[in-house]
Formats: sequence, C-alpha cells, structure tokens
Amino acid sequence: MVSLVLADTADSSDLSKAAITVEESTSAQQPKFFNYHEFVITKYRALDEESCEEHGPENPICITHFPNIYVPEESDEFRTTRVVRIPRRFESSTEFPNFSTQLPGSEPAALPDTHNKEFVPAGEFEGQWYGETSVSPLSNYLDQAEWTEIVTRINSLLEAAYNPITRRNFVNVILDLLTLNLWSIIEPYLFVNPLQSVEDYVSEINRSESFRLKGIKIIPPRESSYLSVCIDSPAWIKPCTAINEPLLTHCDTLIVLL
Amino acid sequence: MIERFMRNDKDRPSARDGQQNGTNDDSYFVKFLHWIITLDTYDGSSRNYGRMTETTNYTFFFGGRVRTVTKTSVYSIVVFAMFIVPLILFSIFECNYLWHHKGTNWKPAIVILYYFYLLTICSFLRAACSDPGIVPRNVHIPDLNASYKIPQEYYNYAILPTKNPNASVSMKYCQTCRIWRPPRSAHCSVCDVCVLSHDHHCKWLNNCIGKRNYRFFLEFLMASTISCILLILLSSFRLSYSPQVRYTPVSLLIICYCGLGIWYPLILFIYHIFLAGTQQTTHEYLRSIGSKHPIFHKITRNRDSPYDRNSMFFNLIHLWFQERGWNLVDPRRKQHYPADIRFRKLPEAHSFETV
Repeated sequence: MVSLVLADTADSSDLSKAAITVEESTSAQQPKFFNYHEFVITKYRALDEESCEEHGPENPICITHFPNIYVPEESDEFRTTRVVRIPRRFESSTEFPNFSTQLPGSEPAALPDTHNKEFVPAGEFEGQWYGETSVSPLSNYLDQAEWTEIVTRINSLLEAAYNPITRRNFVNVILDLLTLNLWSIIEPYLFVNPLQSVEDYVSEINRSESFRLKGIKIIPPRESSYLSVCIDSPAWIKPCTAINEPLLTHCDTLIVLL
Repeated sequence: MIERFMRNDKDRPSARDGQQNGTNDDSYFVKFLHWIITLDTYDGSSRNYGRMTETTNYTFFFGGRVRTVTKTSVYSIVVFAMFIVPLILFSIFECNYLWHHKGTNWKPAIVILYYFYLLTICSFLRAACSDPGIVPRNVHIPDLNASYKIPQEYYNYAILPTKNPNASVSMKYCQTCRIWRPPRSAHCSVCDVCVLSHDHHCKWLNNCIGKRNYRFFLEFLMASTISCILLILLSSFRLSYSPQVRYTPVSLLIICYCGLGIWYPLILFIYHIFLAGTQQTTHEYLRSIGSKHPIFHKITRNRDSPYDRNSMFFNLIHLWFQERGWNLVDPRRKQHYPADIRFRKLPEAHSFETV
C-alpha cells in the first residue's frame, strides 16, 4: 500500500524537508494531519521581481487562500475577498463533520513559520499574494484561542445534529414507518432541523463586533455542504515593494468550513 | 409556442455569462412545462433545479420534487410494474373471498397486507425519486482562471489520522466535482454526482443509494419481503378452501410468483444486515474484496476500520438509522446568485504542469 506522508518539519527553515513524499506505509508510521487544501507552486513573482519566474522546488510559495466562489465572479466582493478553507479532521469522529480547530499553519504536518505567527506575503501568483508557509491570512485576524473556541462550538453542534442515537431520530423513524414515509416530508415544516443551530451560531459570530470590525465572516457551512469551513476576511494591504503596481492592492479572506 | 420552448433550451446564455438574458419573457405555459419536467438547463427559474441538469444526469419533475436519472435504461418502471402485479391479482381474485369468509376472520391479515404493500410502494418511490445525499460541485476549486488547473497535490490521496491509531482515512479529490470528497462518499458515474455515504448505484431503482435514502431502500426491502410472505400465506389458505386447484388458478399463480420474487429482496436484506453490522457500505465491501462478483466471498469484519464501533448492534444502528440531514443540493432552493458556480460544469481538469 502506498501512502502519502508529509515529512516531519521540525526544522522549519528547510522547506525541502516538507516536500510530499510517497513511501511504503509501515504500521509504525502514523499519518499526520495536514491541511489538504493547501498546495505549493514554484513559478511565481517574488516581492522584488518584475515578472513571474521559476524558483525551483527549494523555494515554493504555499497557496493558502482561494477565490470566493460564494459570490458572482463579476461582483466587487469577489475581487476584494478571498476564502481560507478549514479542512475536516477525523481524530474525534469519522461519522460527523468535524473541522480543524487549529489555524492553518499550526497543524502537525503544516509548513510552519518559526519566525512569526502572522501571514507574510512572499510572492504573487495570478494577482494574489501568498506566503512561504502554511500560515494563511486568517492568522492576521484571529488568534489560536479565538479560533479554537469558534470551531469547537461548531463541531459540537454538528455532532449533536448528526448523532443518530437521539430520541428525535428514533421517533422520526417510527413515525415514518407508521405514516408510509409521509412524516419525513411533513416534519421539516413542523420542527426546526438541529443543523439550523450551526447556521444560527455562525450568523451570530458574523454579526459580532469583533468579526464586523475585522471585516471577516464565516460562510454558512450549509453553503459549502459541511465540506469545509470558509472564512471571508478583508483588506490586508500588500507590501508595496515591487516597482510595478500589483494586480490587487489588498486581499480579503473568507473562512470556509469545508 | 413549442418553437420558443425549443429555442430557449438551445440558445440559452452560456454558463460563463449566465445572466437571465432573454428568459424573463417566457410565458407562463413555458415556465409551467419546465416546472412539470426539467429535461435541460433552464434559466427561467431562480430555483436550483433549472441548473442542476447541467452538472448531473437527473431529470426533475414538479419543480424538483421528484427526480430520476436519465441516459439509463429505466428499469425502475419495470420493477415497479413487477411488484404491483401480484397486488392487483390478489385484489381482484382473492381479497373479496377471504374478506367475507365465514370460518376464519381474515380481515386483520388483509389490512396488514395492504399496509405493507403501500409501504413497499411509498418506500420504493422515496428511495428511487429522492435525493441520495449529493454534494455540490466546485466548492474546492483551487483556481478560477480560464484554464481551471488542478495542482499535483490534488491528484494524491490525502491520508489523515483517526481516533484509532491503526486506521486512517484517505480523502480523494474528485476531479469531476472539484471537491475533496468526504470519506465514505463516492462519485457515481451514472448520476454524475458525488454521493455522501455512497452505498451503491441501484439500477433497479435507477438512483444511487446513499446517506439520505439508505433508510428508504432498507424499508423497501423489508416491506416487500413481508408483503410477499403475507401474500403467499393468504393465497395458500384461499387454495386450501377450494375443492380443486382449477377453481382458483390465480392463488397458485400468486404463490409461485411471490415464491420466486421474495428471494431478491430477502437475500439483499440479509446481505445488508451483515454489511451494516460490520460497518461497511456495499461500495467499500466490493473494493475490499477486489471483485465485482460478491457471491462467493465471505463478509468479514475489519476491526481496524476507522468506522467500526466495536459492536455489531451499534454498527447496524449507526448505518441504518443515520441522520439524513439537510438536502445539501436542494433543487427547490433559490439560487444563491445567477449561474452559481456550484451548478456549473467546468472544462476537464488538467494539472499545473501541463500548462
């Protein structure tokens, strides 16, 4: 069996160590969690360069934010916001959607940044700025504790909503059998789905003072079908060191739980 | 009228600039036709069903309430006809005699039979015509530029740790749907969608069996088995009351028909007890034995499976009665914005290297 392991990156300065390697899996070797959304590219425009150049596998940049597909491509919001995707994790459950409580960049197998915890742009690719590590722009808006608190709450609400061993679920099954499956058609009009609590919590977070001031928001997980959590966050001004004006002067981010 | 209806289907604005151009002048009749049956992408409605035909092989009826898969030989109609036949025969030839039989009171048995038959029909319709638990497309799109590239990393399996140190979960990026497929889900090539907790694509129901209709599928198997048993019993008594078989040929026919017909749902039902008891879906089981013919293989329990709950009973409960959750790609919901990318078919994927 071939498995994909992200090599240990204790020495963070050596990025080549973090290259994805395909090796024979042994039982001694445990897979480590990493953000499967991120990927590296080597052809980009560095801060002091004028055009896109090949930098080789030693100096990649890590793509940590993505286009905001939750708004039309022609809209202003699409141009000014970006999405940071928070992946699913399976350590606590393989059955219910569970999202990573760690900020991108601090996962066990991430490309870490020992020097600073913030997102530092290193290169431009197709009009967007990316850093050398797995740290996403989200780290500039939220600290680890805040993020853990939010996602832990979302995870517990999702677990409660998807747990089959509840009185609600068994009553629904029995009523479905007795009413020739008509109950499951009527039920949504009579009772609120427990998944609504996740949506309510997310909109409460998005309305909160701190999120509004920072200009970030969590995409309602229903929009991404619980595949990831997406965060939409605003304007960090790009470092204007390059001679020619970069394509985008700022990048907003959007958190997506997927 | 028909001409306009045709033109609207063919000359609809391309998906990229999918504004609602030229669709507002649709007459109510055309809108109604599309509401009754949605065969092709239709921009005249703000609801999802008008666009879902582009990315899936579904055809919707009644504004997205009922669906079936097209581009297949629709066996589900044959199956429906086949299990309706004995009920019709029983109703015409047997029911009246047994209901008014003076010796024994058969009325409760007949009521129970009709209840289970109705349950068979209803669960069949729900399993065949409802949402199996599909997930939207293009949610994890890495890049929106014209070439729609996919990075090399997305072609690998992402192997992630679970609670059980001996087990891991592997995630795959679906290159058609452009999403990181959650574990246990699979892409069905017949329906052209990714289905959560994908069990199998049932060609007899002409639908996938997944998270949201597995319950109805099992109900169908159970109810049809019980109806067959009841039909055989009642027809046998009817036969025993008759002095000679030639007076009641239909009873004999029903017994033979149901005696043959019971085996298919019964064996499948028993099969699913063992599969769910060992926390496997049909899809996972067939992959684990590496064969497309499961007949001569034993169902074994993999205790190191990340899904195993250490008890056959809880394994069964957790698969059979799993929460159905929301219809995540609801054809009846209003579109988030016109020509939502989640309902668009993107060009074939290719890696970053090939550009």
